[in-house]
Amino acid sequence: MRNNLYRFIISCIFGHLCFATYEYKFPIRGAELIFPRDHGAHPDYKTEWWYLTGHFKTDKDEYGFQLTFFRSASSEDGKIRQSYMAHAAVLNKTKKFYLNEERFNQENWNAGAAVSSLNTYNGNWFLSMEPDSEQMRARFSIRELGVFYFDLIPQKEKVLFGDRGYSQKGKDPKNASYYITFPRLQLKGKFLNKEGLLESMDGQVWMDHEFSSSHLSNGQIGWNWASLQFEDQTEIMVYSMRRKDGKVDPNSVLYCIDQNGRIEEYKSHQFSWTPIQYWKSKKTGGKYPIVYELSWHNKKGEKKFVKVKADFESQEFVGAISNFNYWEGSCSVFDENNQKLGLGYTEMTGYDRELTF
Amino acid sequence: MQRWILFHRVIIRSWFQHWLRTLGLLLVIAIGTSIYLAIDLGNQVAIRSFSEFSDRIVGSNKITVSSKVGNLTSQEVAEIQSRLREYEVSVLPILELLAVFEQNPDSPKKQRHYFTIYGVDLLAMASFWIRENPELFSQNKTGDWDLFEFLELENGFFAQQKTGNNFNFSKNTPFYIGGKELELAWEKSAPISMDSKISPKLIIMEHEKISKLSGLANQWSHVEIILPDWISVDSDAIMARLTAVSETKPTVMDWIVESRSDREEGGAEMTDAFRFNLKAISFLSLLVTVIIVFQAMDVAVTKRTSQIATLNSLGVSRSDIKGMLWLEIVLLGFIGGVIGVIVGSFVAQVSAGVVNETVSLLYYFSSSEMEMSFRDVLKGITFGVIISFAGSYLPVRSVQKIPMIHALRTGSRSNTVKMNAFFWISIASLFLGILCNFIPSYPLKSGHALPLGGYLMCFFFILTTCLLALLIIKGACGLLVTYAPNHLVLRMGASQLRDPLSRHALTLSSIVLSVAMTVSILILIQSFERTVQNWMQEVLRADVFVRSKSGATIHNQARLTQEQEKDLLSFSGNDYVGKIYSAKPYLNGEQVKLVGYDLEYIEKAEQMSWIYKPDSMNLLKEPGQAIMSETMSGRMGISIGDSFSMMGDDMTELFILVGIYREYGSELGSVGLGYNNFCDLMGYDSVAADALAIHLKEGVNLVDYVEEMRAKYSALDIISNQSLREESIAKFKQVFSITYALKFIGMIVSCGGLGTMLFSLMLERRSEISAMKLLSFSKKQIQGMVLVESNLLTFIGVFFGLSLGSIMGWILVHIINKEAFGWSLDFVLPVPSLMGVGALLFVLGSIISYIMATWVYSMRIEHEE
Repeated sequence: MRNNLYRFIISCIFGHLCFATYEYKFPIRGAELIFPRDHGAHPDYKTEWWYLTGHFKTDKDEYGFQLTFFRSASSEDGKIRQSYMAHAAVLNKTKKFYLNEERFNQENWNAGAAVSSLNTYNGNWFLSMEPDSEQMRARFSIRELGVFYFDLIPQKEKVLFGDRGYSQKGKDPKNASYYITFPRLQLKGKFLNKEGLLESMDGQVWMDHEFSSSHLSNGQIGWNWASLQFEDQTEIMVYSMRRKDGKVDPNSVLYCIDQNGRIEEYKSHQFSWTPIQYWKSKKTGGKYPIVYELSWHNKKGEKKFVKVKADFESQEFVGAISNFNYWEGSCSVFDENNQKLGLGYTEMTGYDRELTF
Repeated sequence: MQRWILFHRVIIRSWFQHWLRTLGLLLVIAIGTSIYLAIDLGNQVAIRSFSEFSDRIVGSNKITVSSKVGNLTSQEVAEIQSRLREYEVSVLPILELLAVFEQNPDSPKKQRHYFTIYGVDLLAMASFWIRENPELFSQNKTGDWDLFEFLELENGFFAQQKTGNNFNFSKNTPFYIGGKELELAWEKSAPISMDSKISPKLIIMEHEKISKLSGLANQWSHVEIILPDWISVDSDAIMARLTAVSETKPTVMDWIVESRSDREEGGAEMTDAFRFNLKAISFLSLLVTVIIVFQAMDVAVTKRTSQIATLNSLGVSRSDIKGMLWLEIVLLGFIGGVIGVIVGSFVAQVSAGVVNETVSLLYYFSSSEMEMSFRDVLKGITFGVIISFAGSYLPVRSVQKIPMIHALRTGSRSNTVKMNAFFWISIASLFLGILCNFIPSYPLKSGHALPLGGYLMCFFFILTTCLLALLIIKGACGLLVTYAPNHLVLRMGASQLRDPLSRHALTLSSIVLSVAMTVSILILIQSFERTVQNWMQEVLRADVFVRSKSGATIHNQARLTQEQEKDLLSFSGNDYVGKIYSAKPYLNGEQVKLVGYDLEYIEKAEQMSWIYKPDSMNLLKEPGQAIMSETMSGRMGISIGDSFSMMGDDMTELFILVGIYREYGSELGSVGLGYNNFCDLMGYDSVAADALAIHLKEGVNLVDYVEEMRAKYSALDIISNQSLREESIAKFKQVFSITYALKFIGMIVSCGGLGTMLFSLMLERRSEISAMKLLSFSKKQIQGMVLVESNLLTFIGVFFGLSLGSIMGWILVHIINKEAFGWSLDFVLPVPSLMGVGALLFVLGSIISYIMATWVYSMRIEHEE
């Protein structure tokens, strides 16, 4: 059963499994995304998530955080049913501690996602969007730490990765997702700490919204993903699928976003992700490369290089209900001279055990 | 240091030399403590039973939301969740159902047990548990329980391991829920390691499954809003948010929003009447217990009289002697208290079990088992020390006052009672008791009342009777001594009571009290039983009664299904059938039981027992006419001709009370309407009956008929008239089982008191008896003398106890019961039973006296000295 659960969680996140009697929709190249509707949920697709990662300062401390709302459809006897999971994790960079929480609900009174615009909730964590301004509001809490309640104001236009949002992940055209990103959101909000004192919050956030019905192929054992926000107002998003044979999956990709929101795409053979330093989890035994280098040649043929270092080693998310473990953590980005260039978030899966399908 | 040496040489040595006596003394204190503890813990169980289930699960402050009428829908639960999304609270909706489990269903010893089912959203609950008590959630620790596996099961349930073992739960455990027989699969204990603290009668199931199985899909009984313990949340703001009219959904939600304190108050109010009566009865037992401890301590101190005098003559100061005595008393109290706590914890298991069963029967609540905290242990030990201290205070003081030479010669005989004062106190007490009749009862929120006047009246009458008994015994013995000069044994025995000692007074009081307590309880029970039997005779006239096996909860009715009703009505053996409907509308803000009557049937079968009969039953066919049970009328303060409003599902209607009927099924009572008015108020087009009363055609074999129907409808209770009466009486007797236990304690304590008193008196008189032996008094004469003294005491005690008990019984029936429960009962004086109790106690007293008298004769004075 644990295996079933594991499959369920994976399907939540990458979702090409559970092909059941229900005919899910698949992304189509060239189809136009319409907003604000497509910021909302797409229950006819197998999986979907809204993923916030970012950094903020309060009156006292500096933090990194992730807040993710997952939706996953399953079908039984031709009927479709939605499940919702949410993860939140906070790293206090000043005091060097990390806390996380997990929520799991089926489609009922306690979790849901609107289809007409972005409005998703899981218990009393939520993320919603003003349809006109695309400003967002979110709330989450971590026990024994406090309640975070904040607005997100886009500093740059949203980005549609791939072909106008159609992001191919495998050979089959169905192995694709729609991928919408706000690469730079200003965070302004309030933090109610456990002493009952309100502190202000200021920071910057990266937000991904992705939905698909099948976008992962056999032979993959895990992935690395990172979003990097540079001080010069440029960004990088990279994901690298790791295969069982030790090679990088050809569908891996690196995107550079310039100050004006223009995207440059680099295929798997055009960039490299090189682990430098590992950290081994005592809880799961997973050995994660928490310091790594990214290098690529830009369109002008110049060699580019960044080094990404975790702000804290122990940022492994160990699921209490789901039993799904991964490392998702706040990082800092440096150049070859160790000059800090910006902040980032990195996600690494399949290190405590292989993701098998 | 000197006191310690003194203590060691005099007290400790004496303890070891007379270890049997010391053990006896400790046991007396231990018994007193254990009785106190058993009563206290039993009471705690009774109180806790009503507010416990969810507290045990969540263990946090909370607010509860329920629907004013019926259940909450899933849409309403979602609305509640939406309103509270910006607050740091957890929202836990629950579908609460009553489940009946029959143990040994095929045997004559069939027992019915009530369980509470909590249908919860297990995934949401798991998230909550993990968050609030990560260390308690065993999912990842044990690996033997899997939430997701459980979610796939159609009929799985959690119950405590111990409960499952006790009731032999299995993968096919039959329960009666909502009128259906359901087979549920026991999936072992709940997924949290605090399991043992959860009520043993609580079952947890996935809401989706149980709501479908019970026909209540998408329905919830109430929503618990859990406030976190790690951050402050403004509960007033939450209450305001919940009660605010929604801007987006302008419909006014019919919700009851209660804080934890509101709820606890409500639960406590519900059981007020039961608990007050329990406390009043237990108070009497305690009083008798305290008397016996007083006596035992008196013996201990008296034994030391000559020792004290000797020490005094040797130059030991009075303050040192006093210190030594108090130290002994405190130590005895402490050790006795510890033994009492150990014994009491076992006795309390029994008393708590009895209370539990009573509570289940009265209120259909399953409650938790007894729990003894460290605080209870401390309370028990403190009680032991206090009673030994208080019991010794007067004897120690009087012993200190005895002149040294007098004490050396005769020992203590100075603590005789002051008769003149007693006479006037008894007159004053009688007068005060009569005045108490005019004290109004204290109204409780539940509509019941605390009969203060009745309780105080009992107290003053107890005082009067005990004092009068003492005066009478003194007078009677004076007469015996004067007018029976030739009967040596009679004169000698009676002469002891001409000048009664305080321990005579205490013994007499304890006999009077325990007999009175037993008698008054007997009268109450017999009156109740007779009244209920007469009522059933009038009300239960049908041949067969049909109802759902599962009882109704405050939230859910247990109706027959439409198919069952239709089928049952078409049975060929039926002559005519009466239908009884029920619902839970609101009256004065309280959810009450509403009965819808089939008026034609009521008139035909003369099915009601009236206190005030309406001019015609046709009155009830007109809109706005209602009848009420006596208890409801009393609780709500609504009399004939008064108008009142009730709120049903969609509407509020005004009614006039036109009749009052007797009903002994519930202390809360009911309101009655004609079927059409019932449906109008509750917004039903038509509804299935809750119960059917079937009258059979002549010639139909009742036994065959019942058997045939039972075979066909396993989820229904098909009961013949006789069985229902027997079942009701059996249930009634079980309700009163706690009072039987207390009665037994009373008898034991009074016999123990008599024995202790005789023991102390004989010890005191050892030189006197020795002298009598030297003067050629025979064994028979000495035994006779002791028997005369004790039998006179017992006889007078029993006589006055019977008289006092009869008066207290009358007060219980006509004042306390009427005010507390609102029931009119026929007063029954069960003379043969009372005579039996009196005779039994008298015989027991005589046996104890005989044993003591035999022991006295064999006692060797030089050995004792």
